[in-house]
Amino acid sequence: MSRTANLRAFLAALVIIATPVFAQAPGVPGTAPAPAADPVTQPLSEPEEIQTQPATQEAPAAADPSSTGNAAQQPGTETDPTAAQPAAPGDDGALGAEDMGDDAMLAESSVPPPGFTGIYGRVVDETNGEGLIEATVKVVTGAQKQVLTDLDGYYKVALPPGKHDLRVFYDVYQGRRITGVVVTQGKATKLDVALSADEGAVQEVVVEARADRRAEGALLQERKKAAAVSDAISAQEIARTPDSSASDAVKRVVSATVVDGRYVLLRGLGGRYSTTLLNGALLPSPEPDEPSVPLDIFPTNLLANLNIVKSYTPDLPGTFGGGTLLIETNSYPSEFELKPRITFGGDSVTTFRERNSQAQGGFGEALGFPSSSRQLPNAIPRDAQLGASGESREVLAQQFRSFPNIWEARRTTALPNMGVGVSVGDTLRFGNSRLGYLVSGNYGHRDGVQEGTFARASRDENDQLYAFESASNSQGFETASLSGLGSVGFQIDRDNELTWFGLYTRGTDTRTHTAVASNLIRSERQESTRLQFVSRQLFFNQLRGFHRLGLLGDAELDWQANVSRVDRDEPDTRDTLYLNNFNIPGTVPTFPNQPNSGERFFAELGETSTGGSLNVTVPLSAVKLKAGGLAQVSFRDFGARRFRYLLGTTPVDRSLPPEQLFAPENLGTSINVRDSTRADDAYDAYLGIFSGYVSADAQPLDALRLVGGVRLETSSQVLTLKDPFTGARGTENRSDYANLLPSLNAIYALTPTVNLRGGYSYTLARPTFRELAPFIYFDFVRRRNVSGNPNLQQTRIHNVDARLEWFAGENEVLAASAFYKRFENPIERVINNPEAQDLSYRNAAGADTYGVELEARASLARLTETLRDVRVGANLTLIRSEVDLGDTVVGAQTNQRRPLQGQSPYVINFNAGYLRPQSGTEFTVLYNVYGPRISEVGVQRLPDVYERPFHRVDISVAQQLGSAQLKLTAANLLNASVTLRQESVVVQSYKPGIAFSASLGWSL
Amino acid sequence: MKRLLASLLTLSALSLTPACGDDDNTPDNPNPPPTDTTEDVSSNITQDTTWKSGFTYTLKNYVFVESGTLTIEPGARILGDQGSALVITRNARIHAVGTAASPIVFTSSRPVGSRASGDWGGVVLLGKGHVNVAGGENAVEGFFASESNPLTRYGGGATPDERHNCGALNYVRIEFAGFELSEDNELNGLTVAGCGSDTNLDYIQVHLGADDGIEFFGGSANLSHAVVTQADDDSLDYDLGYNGKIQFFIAQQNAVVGNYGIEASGNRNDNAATPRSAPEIWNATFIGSGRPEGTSPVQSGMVFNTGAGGKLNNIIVAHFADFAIDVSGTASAALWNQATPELYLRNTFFWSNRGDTTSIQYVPNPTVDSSGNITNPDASNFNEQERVLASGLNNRVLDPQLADARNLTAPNFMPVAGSPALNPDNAASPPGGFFDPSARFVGALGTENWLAGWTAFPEN
Repeated sequence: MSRTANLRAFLAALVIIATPVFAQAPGVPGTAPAPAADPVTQPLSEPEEIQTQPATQEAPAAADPSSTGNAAQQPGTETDPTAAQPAAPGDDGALGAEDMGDDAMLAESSVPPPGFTGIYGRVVDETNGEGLIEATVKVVTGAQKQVLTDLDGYYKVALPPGKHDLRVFYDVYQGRRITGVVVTQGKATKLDVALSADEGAVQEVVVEARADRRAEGALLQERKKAAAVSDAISAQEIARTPDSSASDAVKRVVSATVVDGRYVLLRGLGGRYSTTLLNGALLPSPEPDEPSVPLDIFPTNLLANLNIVKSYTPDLPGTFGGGTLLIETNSYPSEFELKPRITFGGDSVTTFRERNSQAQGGFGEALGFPSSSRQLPNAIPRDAQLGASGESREVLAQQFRSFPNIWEARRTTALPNMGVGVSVGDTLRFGNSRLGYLVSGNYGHRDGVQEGTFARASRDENDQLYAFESASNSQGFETASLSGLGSVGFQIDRDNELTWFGLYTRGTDTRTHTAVASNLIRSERQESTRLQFVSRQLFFNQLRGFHRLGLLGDAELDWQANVSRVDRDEPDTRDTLYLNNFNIPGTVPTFPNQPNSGERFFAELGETSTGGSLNVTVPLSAVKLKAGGLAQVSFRDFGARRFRYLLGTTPVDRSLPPEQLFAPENLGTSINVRDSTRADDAYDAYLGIFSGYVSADAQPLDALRLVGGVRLETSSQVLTLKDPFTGARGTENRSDYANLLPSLNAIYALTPTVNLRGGYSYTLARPTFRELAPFIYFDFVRRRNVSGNPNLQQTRIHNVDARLEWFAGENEVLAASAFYKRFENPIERVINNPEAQDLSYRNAAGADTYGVELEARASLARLTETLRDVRVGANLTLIRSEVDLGDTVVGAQTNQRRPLQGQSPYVINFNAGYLRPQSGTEFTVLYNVYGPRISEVGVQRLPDVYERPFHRVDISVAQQLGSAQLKLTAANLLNASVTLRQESVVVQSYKPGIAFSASLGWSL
Repeated sequence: MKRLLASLLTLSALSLTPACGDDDNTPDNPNPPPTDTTEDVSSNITQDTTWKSGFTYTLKNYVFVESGTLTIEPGARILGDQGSALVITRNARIHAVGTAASPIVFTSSRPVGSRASGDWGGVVLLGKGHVNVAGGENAVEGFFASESNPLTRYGGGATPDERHNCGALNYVRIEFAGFELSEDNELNGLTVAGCGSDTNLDYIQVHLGADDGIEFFGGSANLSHAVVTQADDDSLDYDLGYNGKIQFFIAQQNAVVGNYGIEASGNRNDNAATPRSAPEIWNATFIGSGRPEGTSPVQSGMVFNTGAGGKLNNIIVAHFADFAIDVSGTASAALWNQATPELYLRNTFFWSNRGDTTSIQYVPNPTVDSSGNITNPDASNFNEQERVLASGLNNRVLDPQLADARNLTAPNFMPVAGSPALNPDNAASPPGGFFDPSARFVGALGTENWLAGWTAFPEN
């Protein structure tokens, strides 16, 4: 069997999965009108008139094959009265001249008579522009009137002066809601409405809640009317980038920073301060070492959009610091589609070069399934310490020999990266009901090499910093990921809708490290190896509902319920370390019988989480009230085992390489295995969050909107140490909190296109289980241990924001913000044990952060018409932060005045794109960098460890080739290196290399 | 009756060997003790507590004496489970005063025959003395997540109590202890951190301990009549400004894995930190195993690094596999000077280190980069051969003629009759005060074997 054979089998499996979908597909496309090719908002050429004509085929991003959106985000459908631009009464003077008689209820003519006070217009099919007969136009505020369109689709409805919200709907078409339409005494306000027959066929699109958020234009509109400060990136925009996963895509958003290629920082703030919500649900983190969700598990084609909310509103969970990342997954194509995609890639430091590998694994692991040979051998007792049950020497020796005798790194040639994926989707109709689905499957395989250096710093007798230990290390890795996504939406009728979303991802990550180090204090040369393998899986299920209640002024109810399971399994990580003393020439490396040499480590983590949330929105005439609640409970179970190989009584040549030294014949005689599992190697943990909120959205003045409210959030976080063998529960560490989270946001429309915003909120951040658990993990690369701190407290955060934003034109925005945050008890990563430079976490007393943020997105058509097809986006965030260590002796922290750990002083993102619709060519350049930030707080006069800026430049080119699209990308063109420094000493450095990929996708 | 029986057993053992060769010779009930004399200890101790003579206490986990005094009566036996240790915090004291006939024994809870170094964590004493780290306070090694745990902190901060009394350990044996959590983060047989000069450490044996035998972190506690046999790493280790007094110290190095007789370190992160690690040591014997050279880790007499000193007098350093002494790094080398000597050896016998019976080794400290290339052949610029054997220090290469110092099961560290170690011309008189001024001989033993009766050397 070869790798390619596996691939074939996998493709075959995908085809089988897809076949039934095909089978039911045929009749459907016929009933579906051609979809609008593109969800982009049409330029609002006449901003003073409501114009809901859909985007046409000439729309700028029409070539984007991944877009399946609808035309719901027409400017005229704005919900936010401050942002919407209903026709001003004076603007339709010309129309008013077309006197067509006065019949408010029987709309026979296209133009109302002079003096008519109300709204008139035409309802059309957006694809062919034909009028829709007997479509319903309903006034949902105040007057509660309803009219039907005439044979040509015209309607008019007499209304008193004021602002009115309308709903327009028609069988088999998606309805729309148009809010804030101004009616002036003696004037007729024109409102043409285009309904799409099939776009987003599952739901009645109420823009307020249901805009197709995949389109950039839509997102800007969302931002304009949003109650909170937010930044977003759309699926359309993501598709333009070389990005393959959400972690890449989110970098394009203002002040979003990505760490380790997979964790997001918002406004330069760490994972704890950024909550990720998947369709409104809190996502668990499958990585115990990291407090946030690794975004690289979300392939970009799952994403409807990534939206970062940077000012808090009470309907969000209370954990809010830098911001909340809202991931929304795709809705459904209006007609059957099948989109396979294949990608090949490589990078300059890896592909076709030798890399470290393991003599273990096999085909299963290349597909994402761990090999059983890595599991704890059956001969090893689970419920008792090895050797504690009075086993005889012979039995013990048998047990020692049950472990695979594989300790050394092998070498292999790195293969190119490969990915295949397919998505299938459709919308089916049953009378007034519609059912849409989208299913996708992805498989990816990647080889990598990371060659780097590592050092440890000390001060000599002259107070000069020097590296007393320096090492070079090489990491070879191989990752495989397999993911499946399913989403099914069922629109029962135009007021009720249910959606199921399911996500399953799994992956294997095989890492083989080798390092050579010189320690000048010990005068030792160290050769070390780690074989590591991690498998992860995430299973997430969510059911969502949306209901228009038809009472309380057309109140809406939305809810979601979710259940998820995360597993992380790290079986049989093996460490060896051999030493020789370079004071004595000619000594050979020998097994030193010391920690981290001859050790095996097994860890299993599982977390189950379930919960739900409910929101009710009641649009009263003056105030829109929103109330809701959330409950989410998570249970984690963690257990680890450790084994250490020790010299026995029989002498043995300790210079033998590990696989000879630990050979079966030596076990039990010259080498013994000790079960070194620690008492804190098992814990279970519980986090329960229960919260409720009320908020009100009022418009005391035409130009002023106030959104305020309060959330009560109670949480209970319990970490209980367990006996790693018996499971007997021991010390319980419990933190209960009940917190009020007030917030107020004000939006003042200086002009119809310029908003001034201000906001305040008081939010919180919690330590993760990993940060609380006293469990110890050995960081091989930095040769130190990392452990949690059970005494960590929750952080509270005061947030103040101000923002001036100008929505200059379609897809164009200029914004300037200032923000201030006061952290109480922020959690920082500090060097715990100065001798070993081990790492732990502790609360500082406080920290102050001030920031300024500038953002611009524009088309260069503003400069010259020839550059109409070039669009640029840039954002710059400058942040000043200072930690407050309080009165207590903060141990021996070196700097009493320094930035908050993890806070970058600046973030710069820039992107430029060129699109030539005629040829279906797209070219994009991206640049981003984040300023130096403290990775670890230094103690004992050693400087803080700073992560240096990483300048990233990526380009991508996409070309349409009939029904196929070819995309070529190059990432990290500057070949930048990741560097951590402790003043003059480079503590860690490596080059990830320049990565290239080519992908070909088809839309069938 | 039991005591009498025990004493008789002890006496009979004494008549056979100068020190007991078998754990069973200690004053324990030879029969399994009745259940009412055994007790499991799993909770922290917060008030005055007494562990009784004739009883066996099993430590189930880390037991912190948070406050009060833990009194352990002579003959009490304390067993440690894996993952256990006894920690006397800086707000508490220990009073474990045994007798030569009835020592207090801390050992592994595993059955005799299957015990090994590192079976349990050991004994930790924490005090409010000085420690030369910034802030004068530190978290003791061997515990994780201890930064914010007040129970593992030691040192008196800005106002250290140089006389802080951590209590008394007299006639105490600690066996099969030590715990290597990770490199540079270990529990030793006996860890003494930040204890002051009123602490009474006299007649202590640490046998087959993982990591170091006895390690001092800062403080100025004094130690006398101490034996460390077959430690996994160093026999005596001191760091972070320890500057107490030590007299009558014996180290017998583990043949397989033992590293240094003394590993003296200053502050690794800050080699200029004061007070210096520079204890005054009189009458000490360091015995290597004499195994072939060139295995890692090195087996050598002593190393002084990262700004550590030591004032050593009347010392024997013999039979170490790789070298006798290494002054490593310029920070420690600078302390070896005429004007303000904080590092010296005087009246010392070196013998057969790396098999050399005529000299000692010059140990260069090359600087090596991460690729293994030597960038400086001797960064310390200290030639041990010339400097340590310089005239005026009365150091010589001479056979101390010890009876049976390398015997692992029944060692005898006494100089034989006529040994040059007993010649007062080769030695100096200790200054008095804490030191016994009558000990004008080289090494830890003169004519009185103070090991007799209370020590033991069980293999497993």
